[in-house]
Amino acid sequence: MDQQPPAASLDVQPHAFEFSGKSKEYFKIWIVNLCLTIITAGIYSAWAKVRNTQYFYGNTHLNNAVFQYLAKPMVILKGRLIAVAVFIAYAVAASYYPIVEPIFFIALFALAPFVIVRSLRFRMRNTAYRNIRFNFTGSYGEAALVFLLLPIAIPLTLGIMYPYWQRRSQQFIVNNTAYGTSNFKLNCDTGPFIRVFITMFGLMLLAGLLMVGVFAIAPKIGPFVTPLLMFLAYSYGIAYVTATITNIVFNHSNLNQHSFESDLKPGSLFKIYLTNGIAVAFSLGLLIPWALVRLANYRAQCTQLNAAGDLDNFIAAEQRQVSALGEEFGEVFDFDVGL
Amino acid sequence: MISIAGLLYDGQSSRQIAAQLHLNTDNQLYLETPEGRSSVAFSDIDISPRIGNTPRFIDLSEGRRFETADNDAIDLLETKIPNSGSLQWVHHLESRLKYVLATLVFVIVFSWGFIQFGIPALSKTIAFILPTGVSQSIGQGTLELLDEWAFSESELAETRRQELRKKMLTVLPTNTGYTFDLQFRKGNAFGANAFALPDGTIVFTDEIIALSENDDELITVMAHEVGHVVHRHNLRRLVQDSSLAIVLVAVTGDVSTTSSLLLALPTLMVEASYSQVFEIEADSYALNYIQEQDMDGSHFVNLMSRLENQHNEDEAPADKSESNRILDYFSSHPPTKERIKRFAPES
Repeated sequence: MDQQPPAASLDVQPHAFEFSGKSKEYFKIWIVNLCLTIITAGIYSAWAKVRNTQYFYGNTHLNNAVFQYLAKPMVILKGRLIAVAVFIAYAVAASYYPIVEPIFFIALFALAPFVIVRSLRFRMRNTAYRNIRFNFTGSYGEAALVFLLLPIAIPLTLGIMYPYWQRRSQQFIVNNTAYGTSNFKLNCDTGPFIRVFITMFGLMLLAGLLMVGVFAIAPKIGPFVTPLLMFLAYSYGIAYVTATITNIVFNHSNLNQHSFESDLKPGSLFKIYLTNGIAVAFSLGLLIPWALVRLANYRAQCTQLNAAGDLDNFIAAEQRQVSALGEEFGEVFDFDVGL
Repeated sequence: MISIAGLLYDGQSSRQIAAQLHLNTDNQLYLETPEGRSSVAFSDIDISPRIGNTPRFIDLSEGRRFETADNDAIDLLETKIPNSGSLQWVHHLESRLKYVLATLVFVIVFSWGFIQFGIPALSKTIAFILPTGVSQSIGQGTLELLDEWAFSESELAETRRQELRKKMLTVLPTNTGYTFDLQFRKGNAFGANAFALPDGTIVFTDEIIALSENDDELITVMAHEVGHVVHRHNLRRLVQDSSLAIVLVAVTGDVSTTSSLLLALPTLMVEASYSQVFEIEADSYALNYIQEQDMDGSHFVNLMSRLENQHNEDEAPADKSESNRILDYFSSHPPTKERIKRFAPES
C-alpha cells in the first residue's frame, strides 16, 4: 500500500504553509452568506458553510497547490435538516414530558462515538490536496473507548489520567487519518502531554494566588479586578493548551517519510485571541471575518511540512461518499472534536 | 481564443503536470500537456465556483483535475460554456461594493429588528403554548435556592401576616391555572422588594412592608407582581435568553472562547431592555386593576418614589442625572419617573 522506500538519502525540503486570505475580501463573502441565509430562512446556510470553508481551504497554500473542500451543499443541508428536526422533537417532547430529557442525554452520550467518527470521516473525505482526498478510518469501537470509557476514568484517577487521554484522543484522530493510501502517524509518548498538564496546573495555581493577593492587599478593588484576572487567566489557558498541544501533535507526526513542524507561541496566540475578542465584541460581530483571517494567517505561518523528496508519489484511494449527518449532528449538538 | 495555464492531476497520484486549457475560436476545448494535445467535451467538465480569488478547479473525465489561479480566464470560459457558472451570481454579489453595502444594511436592520421584536414575540407565543405545568416545574426550587442564599425567616408577627394575606389575596384573578401563594421573608441583601416566581408564588420582604405607609400601597405592588405571573414573564425570559444565545452562536460561530465571553456584554444590555418591557407590562396590569377597583393610583406612585429615594440614598448622591440616563439602558427596570407618570398623569 505504502509507496516505495526512498532509494537514497533524500534532501529534506521545508515547505511553509501560507494563508493568502484577505479580511476585506472575506468580509464580503461572509456578509453575503449571512444575508442569503436570513432571506432563505436558513436553507442557504449549507451553501454558506461550503463557501466559507472553500475560502479558507482555497487560500491555504502548500508547495504550489491549495487545499480543496469538496462537500456538496445538498448533502450538508440534508444532514442539517435531520439534526434540527431531532432537536426540535426533543425540545418539544422534553417540555411536555420531563422524563424525555435524561433518556435523550443518555442516547446522545451513547451515540457520541458514532457522531465523532462520522463527522471526522465527512470532513476528511471532503478535503483534497493535489486531487488526492484525505480519509478517516477510525472505528466506532475505538472512538467509544477513547471518548466514552477513558473520560470516565479521568475523575476516578483524580485527573492523573488526563494527559494519557489527551495523547490517546490525538492519536485516534491522527493515526486514523490518511492522505490517499498513506496513513499519518503520531509517534509520541505521554511525556510531553504531562508537561503541558503540569504547567497548566502551575499557571492556574499562580492565577489563584494572584487573585487572593489582590483581595488581601486591596480588598476594595478586589471585586473589580478578580473577574478581569479570571478572564485573562482563562483566555491564556486556552491559548496555552491550544498552542502546545498543536505543536506536540504536528512535531511528532509524519506522513510516509515527510514530517511536520508547528511553532505556535502561547503568548502570540493569547494576544490574537484577546484582541480578536475585543474587536468582535465592540463591533457587534462585524469584525468576525477580520478576526478569523488573522487567526488563520498566524496558524499557517507557524506550520510547515518537511518534505523528504517531492510530493508526487501519493496514490489515490477508492472511496465511497459519506453522508453529512454525523458532522451536522455534531454541530447542532455541539460535539467538539479536532486538533 | 482563451488560454489558461495551470496544473493537471491524473486522478491516480499527487503528481503535478504543467498543462494548458485552450478554447479556440470555433469553441473547441483542448487540453495541452507535455505529452500532447487532446480535445475535451463541454459535457465532461465541471468548473468549481469562484470564491474570492482562490484558485479554481476544473474536473475532467477519468478523475483528472485541473487547478489554476487564472480566475478571469475561467470566468470568461464559463460565459462560453452552456450550463456552467451556476453560482456566479453569488460571486457577483460578493464583489460589488453596492451589493455588499446593501446586504450589510439588511443584516444590521434585520438583526436589530429580530432582537427587538422577533425574539420577544416568538417567546410570548411559545410561553403561552406551553402548559402552566412547565412554569410550575421551573418555579420549584427557586424559592428554596433564594432561602438558602439570600432570604431569612420573616420577622413579621403571625397576626400581621394573616391580615396582609387576607387583603392581598383579593387581588388574585380566578381561572388562570396558577396556584398563587403569598410568602413573607426577610430580604437582607435584596432589601425592600417583591418577587413573582414562575409557579405563582409571590414573595414580599419585611423591608418593603416596613417601607409602606398603608396596605393599599402593598396591594398595588401585589397587582404588579400578579401581572408578572399571568403574563408568564419568567418563562418568556427563559425562552428569550436562550433564543438570544442561539442567535449569537449562529451568527458568530466558532470565533473563539474569548470572544464569546466578551459577547456577554451586549447580551446583558439586550436582556436588560427585555426586562424593561416586562416591567411596563406588569405596570399596565396593576394600573388596570387599580382602575377596576376604583383605587387611588398614587398608592403605587408613593411606594415607588420611596423605593427610588432609598436606592438613591444607598448610592453616592453625586454625579446623577447624566450618568443615570446611560445607566437606564442597562437597568432592568424602566426609569421610575416614566413609570410614575402612567399612574398619576396629573402630577
